[in-house]
Amino acid sequence: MFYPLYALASQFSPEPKSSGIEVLEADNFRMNCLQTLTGVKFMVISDPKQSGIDGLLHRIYELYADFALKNPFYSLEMPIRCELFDEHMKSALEHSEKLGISNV
Amino acid sequence: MTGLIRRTFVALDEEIFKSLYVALIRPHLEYANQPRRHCEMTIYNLYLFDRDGQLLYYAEWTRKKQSGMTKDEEAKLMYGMIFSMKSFVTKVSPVDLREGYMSYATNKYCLNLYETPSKLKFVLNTDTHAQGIKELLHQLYTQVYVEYVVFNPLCSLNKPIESELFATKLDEVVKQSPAYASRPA
Repeated sequence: MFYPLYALASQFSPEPKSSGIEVLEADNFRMNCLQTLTGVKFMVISDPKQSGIDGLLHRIYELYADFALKNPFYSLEMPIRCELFDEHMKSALEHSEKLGISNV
Repeated sequence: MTGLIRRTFVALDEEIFKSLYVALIRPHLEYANQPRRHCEMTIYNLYLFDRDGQLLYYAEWTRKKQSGMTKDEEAKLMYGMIFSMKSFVTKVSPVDLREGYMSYATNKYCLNLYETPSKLKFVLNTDTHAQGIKELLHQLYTQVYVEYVVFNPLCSLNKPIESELFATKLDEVVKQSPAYASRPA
């Protein structure tokens, strides 16, 4: 559902060569989106006051590359069911939350 | 500063004055000019939709890339996008949009949406550094739309706005805001 919005955003841009939506902000939440060169999108929904989401997105991209793509049993376009990926993801999220809250 | 130079030296050659100027005065001027460049913000264009999705008004200040569609198509597509975005936000957000304001940013521009309680939608495209757009849109609604359209007996609320007074006043309010820079970005 979000995918067409992302594509439309770059089409409507008044400046040439715009990317798709990178940050969507409303009253109670902020959503950050990172689109990789292969078209995979990583989206993080957080509190508007949380900082450091960009770093978190890149860290998640790294984890995806390490645990999902290098895993010989994982096939592309399927949901990721890898324990190590989940564990590392959890610790990255906690780490980012701790850092983010201390910055506020 | 120039007075200081003039008073200090008995014989002031043009060359000496020039070198003193470059050494003493110009750094101050360059320093003063710099901060303005960093807070340059631009407003690109504005769309105004009514509760049924009809485009009531479109204004453009700077726009470097056209979207390759006719105005009508673009307006319909824009409204569709905003509608989907609002439903997406309502699904994700724990509480409804109380203030009626939402924005997204890409790497080149920022789209701000302000929805009034009467379902009128103001969509403003600015650059990514613009601040205070929520207040600007609220101001546009109260000081321009309500004054010059709602109170105008000749303007019917469901038709595109043709009032020139509205256009001039809108332009004025936007240009006066700190988010508008007269130099193209």
